[in-house]
Amino acid sequence: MRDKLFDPITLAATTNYIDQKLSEGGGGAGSAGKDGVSCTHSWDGTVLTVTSASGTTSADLQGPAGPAGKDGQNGAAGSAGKDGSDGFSPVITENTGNSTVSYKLDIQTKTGTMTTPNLQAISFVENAQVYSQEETVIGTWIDGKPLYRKTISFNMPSQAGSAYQICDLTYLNIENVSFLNGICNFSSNSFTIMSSYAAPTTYAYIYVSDNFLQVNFAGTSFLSRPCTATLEYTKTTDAATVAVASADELNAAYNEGVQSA
Amino acid sequence: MSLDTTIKDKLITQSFEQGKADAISLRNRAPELDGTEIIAEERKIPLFDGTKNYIAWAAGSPVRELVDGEYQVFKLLQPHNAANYPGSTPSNAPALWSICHTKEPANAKPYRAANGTSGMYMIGECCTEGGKVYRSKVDNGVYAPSEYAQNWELLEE
Repeated sequence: MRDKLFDPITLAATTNYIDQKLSEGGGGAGSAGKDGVSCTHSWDGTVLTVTSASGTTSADLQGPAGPAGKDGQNGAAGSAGKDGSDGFSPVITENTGNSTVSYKLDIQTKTGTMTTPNLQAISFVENAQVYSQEETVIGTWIDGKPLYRKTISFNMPSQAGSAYQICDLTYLNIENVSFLNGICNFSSNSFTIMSSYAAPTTYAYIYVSDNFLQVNFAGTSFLSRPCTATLEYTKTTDAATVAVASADELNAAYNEGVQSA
Repeated sequence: MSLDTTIKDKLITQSFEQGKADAISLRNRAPELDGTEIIAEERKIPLFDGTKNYIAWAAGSPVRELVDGEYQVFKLLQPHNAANYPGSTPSNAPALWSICHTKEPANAKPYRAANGTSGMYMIGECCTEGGKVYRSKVDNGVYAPSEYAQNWELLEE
């Protein structure tokens, strides 16, 4: 480079000058150098970072994941669990309100006592379609009393008239007749006795009065015909178990509701 | 053993709630109904209560009042607190209440004289007097059948 900056003459002169000066020993000491800078580094488990005076350099030193290791050995058995709570044996007793038409069971459990539905109702279902000359309990009336059914077989009187007493029902202790139906059979016909034939000269109806099953008929069609009468009734000898709401009470409640609005 | 009142109590509660619901329903509809329609549902109308606050009731809401032994039906004209008007009732407070009349002879009420313009009988509206049923032949009628028979048509003997 010096060849390009200085021509040979100048170069020679300069060289001589320098050589002369060096031989004379007249040069001074140079100035102090700058302080050095220490390198620092950091390692995050994957990347090594080095910082020096000339800058920061990073390198990812983590290699690819190796294959999975083998399973470890089973651990030791855990400690025994706590004891469970004590068991409870239900106690079953008959409900104190059981009656002819009601059979319930009280079941005392750990959390309290529950009462079964009326198990007697099963027999009501069974008897619902039973028509017998024997008195049969078929269910309950609105007051909770047993409801009985009985079918009576009889022949119409041989002479038309009114208020023929068919049979005495006193022994049944009837309190309330909830259903009464009479059927008269003749030839191939079966007529409901109640209000059979609307004509004023031929009719028949059946009813209970003064503890007698009675029939009233006119005309000759029913004379001596075989009939059946089916009654459903409650008895004076049974106790009511259910309070009955009368129409007056319900009307009063309605009016109270209106007034409260 | 005491009787089981479960069913009875349930029925009575149902009746009470039904009455309340019916009364509220009629009250809500009443402003759009005429006297004939309101009286047709008279069972749903509560009795006037002199201690009740009628401020929240809409004009047109009906009440009943026993007047001279017969129930009359009145529509509210001005919502108010009845407790602030001691002694006043619908039949003597025409500024607050207006009597209803019906065009249905079967529901006709005993004749009541109008209070000013309140309660005048319009054509077709009926009343009873002396056990007979009359129908008004005029609008704005203010005389009883016994006072001015020309204005009334006798419907039943």
